Amino acid sequence: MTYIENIFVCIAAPLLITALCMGRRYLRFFLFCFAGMGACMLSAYINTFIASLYGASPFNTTAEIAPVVEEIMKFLPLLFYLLVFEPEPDKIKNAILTIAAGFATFENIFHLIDNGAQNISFLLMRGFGAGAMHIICGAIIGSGLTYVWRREWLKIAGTLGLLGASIAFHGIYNLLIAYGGEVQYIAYVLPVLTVFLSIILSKLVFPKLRDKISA
Amino acid sequence: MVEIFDNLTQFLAAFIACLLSSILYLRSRRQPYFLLACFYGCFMLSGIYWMLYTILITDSPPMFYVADIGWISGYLFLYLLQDALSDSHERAFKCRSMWLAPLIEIPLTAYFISIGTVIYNLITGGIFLTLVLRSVRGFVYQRKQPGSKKWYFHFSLLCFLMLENCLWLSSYPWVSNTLTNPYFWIDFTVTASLFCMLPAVRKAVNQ
Repeated sequence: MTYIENIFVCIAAPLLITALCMGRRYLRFFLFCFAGMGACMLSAYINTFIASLYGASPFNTTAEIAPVVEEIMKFLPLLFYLLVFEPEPDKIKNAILTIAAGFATFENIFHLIDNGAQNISFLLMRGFGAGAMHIICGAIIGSGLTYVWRREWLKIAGTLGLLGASIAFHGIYNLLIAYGGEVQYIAYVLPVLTVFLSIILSKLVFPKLRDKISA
Repeated sequence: MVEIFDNLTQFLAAFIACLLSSILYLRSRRQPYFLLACFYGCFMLSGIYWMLYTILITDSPPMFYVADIGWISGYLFLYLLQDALSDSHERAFKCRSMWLAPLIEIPLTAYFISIGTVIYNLITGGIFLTLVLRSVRGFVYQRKQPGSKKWYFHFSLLCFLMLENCLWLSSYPWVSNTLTNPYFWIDFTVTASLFCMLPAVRKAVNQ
């Protein structure tokens, strides 16, 4: 049996002390990080519960249940932040990305506990792959929300739509991972490539396109 | 093989349309293009998931398909697009043709519920009812406006929705993985109608 809440306490404790030492300016970052880790831990419990409720196989749990549960759980701390603090649009993106990073870190810890840490090349791929996938899912919601949350009538339907898009992306990744074999390597490469492509597009192509249009 | 080709063409159509509508949004910063890109994006992601699922796994899952969630999200963006392209006069407009929507969608939803899952079919039925209702209203209203080009959008959306209904209807009675199955031909038409929505939205935005 894995005492995952004990592991959570061990990881969160030094980070919490650091957050207190670094002051209010960095507190938000650490809090979102904890929220991401907490969401990951709760997702594991909910995934197990739903899987036993439906009698789902491990494959179906990974490919069908986990994307939905994990994306919803990742979104809940952000929803709380949006509803209670009503932040500026530029802060929304950073918040969801930090939550996603916390979630991915804790998920990797789960993986290490279950499968060991012997194979560094595989872990490197897995670390970057899972990290990039969660960041992309966060970016889909974050970048969309900065647009959607500004308009009253767009809020509910737009938010649900973005959540659905991130679930679909997460589902593709999990489906390939769950299938295993050579196919899972495509899953690890896919989000990393998407991140690189997004960076190239946002840093190089889009500014040039914008300049061209304004000229 | 036919199914893979069918899914691949639909994915490529959605991908190209998503790319084009994103470029149009970046160039013009017009909201309808953003919503259209989101719709195509959701459709594309669901398309990849569905294609991979049909290639890698033959069994159907015990609970739900993740692709269904992506498709529902796409329909939500279509709903928002309809709203973005309509004005207050159009929204207040009422006509008898609007009754066509419940006449078509309620029996279809009841039929799909009788052979499929309740929650998914209720959600999709509700969204389709709203979309068809607003499309019919928009089409009738915009046809009455001299010089209006927005009816192209409503017409293309109506075609897409009707074809989707036909697709689901055809998926139950015929089970065959060859081109003799009308399901594939209807799905090819759905792909064409999906792509046709882009020029239709462009006409509506440029009006």
